[in-house]
Amino acid sequence: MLYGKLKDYRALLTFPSLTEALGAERILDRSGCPFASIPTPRSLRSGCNTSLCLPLERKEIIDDLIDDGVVFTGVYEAREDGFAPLTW
Amino acid sequence: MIYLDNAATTWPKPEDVGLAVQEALMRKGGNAGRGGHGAAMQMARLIHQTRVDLCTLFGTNDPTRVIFTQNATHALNLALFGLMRPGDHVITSSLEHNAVARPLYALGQRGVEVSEVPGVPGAEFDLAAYRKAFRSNTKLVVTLHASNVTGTMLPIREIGQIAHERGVYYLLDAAQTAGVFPIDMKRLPLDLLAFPGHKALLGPQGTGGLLINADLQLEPLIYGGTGSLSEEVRQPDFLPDALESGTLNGIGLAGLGAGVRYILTEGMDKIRVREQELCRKLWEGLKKIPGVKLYGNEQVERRAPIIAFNLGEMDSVELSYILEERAGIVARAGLHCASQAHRMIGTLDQGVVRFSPSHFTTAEEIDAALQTVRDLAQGLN
Repeated sequence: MLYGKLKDYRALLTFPSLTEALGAERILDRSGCPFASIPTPRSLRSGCNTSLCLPLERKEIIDDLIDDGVVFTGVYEAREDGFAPLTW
Repeated sequence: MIYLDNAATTWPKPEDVGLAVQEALMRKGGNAGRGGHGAAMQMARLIHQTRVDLCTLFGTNDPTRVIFTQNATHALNLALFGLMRPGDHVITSSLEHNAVARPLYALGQRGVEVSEVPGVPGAEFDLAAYRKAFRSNTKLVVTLHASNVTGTMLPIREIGQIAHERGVYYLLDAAQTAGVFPIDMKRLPLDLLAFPGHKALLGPQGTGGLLINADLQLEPLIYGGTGSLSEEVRQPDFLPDALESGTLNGIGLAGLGAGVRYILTEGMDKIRVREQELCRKLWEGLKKIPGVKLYGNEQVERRAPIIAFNLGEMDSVELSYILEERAGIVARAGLHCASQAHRMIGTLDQGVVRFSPSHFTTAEEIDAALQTVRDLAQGLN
């Protein structure tokens, strides 16, 4: 079941640690891309318990995060029936 | 009070440091990483901001490699016990603080081989002897950047370059220099940097850290909760979580961040030049007083902002007591947790009085300190 901002922001990023998530937040902040920090969905929980979600149509910004050295454990599209690995 | 003990801990702190501590304590008191709720995230962001600020200050770009500790001693212990194993060899200097000397002694009891590079006043680190000290099992070189007793600085670039030529890691104890002298981890041959938060970085006591610049694995000093991988009993192996078990001193780290931002805004060079001016005034003034003996490098530019001296044969602790009693001058005296350094400069019995101003110290306070020593010297003669 989708919850919180995940209902609107369907791109989900998971991280190995909170420090990585916070680093990603700073980059998204600077870019002006809307995002929200949410608890990592149970089915994806491994590493950091906090994930970030952002609008699917802004998924190209993930390249900027990678360029800035942010480490993810996963990038997903949140669907009603679950989380699908996201390509962009 | 005339506070001249900034080498022990800086005081006063910039106003912003106090405000940041208050803001964190009164308004953002969640536990970082323990839950994803708003209060925890607020504190996590404060702590992360401090990691980022420290990266800016030390020329690095990876906040995950800023490991927070209680102080520089804790950071040094983390590096030394985390890296050295029985049968490994470590090289150090003869000026070290007990923060390095004691862990190395303890490691020596556990089968780590320790070599101390000899030195004499004026040539505190014998580079030729250092080159000869390397062995096939040498894993680490550890030195301080500047002596906490005399302020004398070691040639860290040469020390690090030689270590790297031999494929050996270099750990720097920047207890007396972080926040005063530029330390650019990108340009200096450093692998590990230990720093206190409460000295020249102007943060609260109970803060410090270790910067890890190399791709090396440290065994944790303590194990426990990190807020990550909670489902697993094994310690996470990613940084900073691997080395930061238990609740961090978030309140203190918020203050440390404010201290670092103060330095970045004011300019480290401006702060250092001011402190060096005060040290020159102290050195020149003390030099003219009959019976005063000064220690360390005469060039204040090549020294951390510390002036070590004695008056005649007077015990340094007694002298320090009288300075406070007569004029409210607060200065450290005695052996300064560094017996080897005192052995080198020949003050193992007498100790030294250490004046260490900060950029907040006024010229009038320096004049008052000098006049008090002058009066005492006249009384002795």
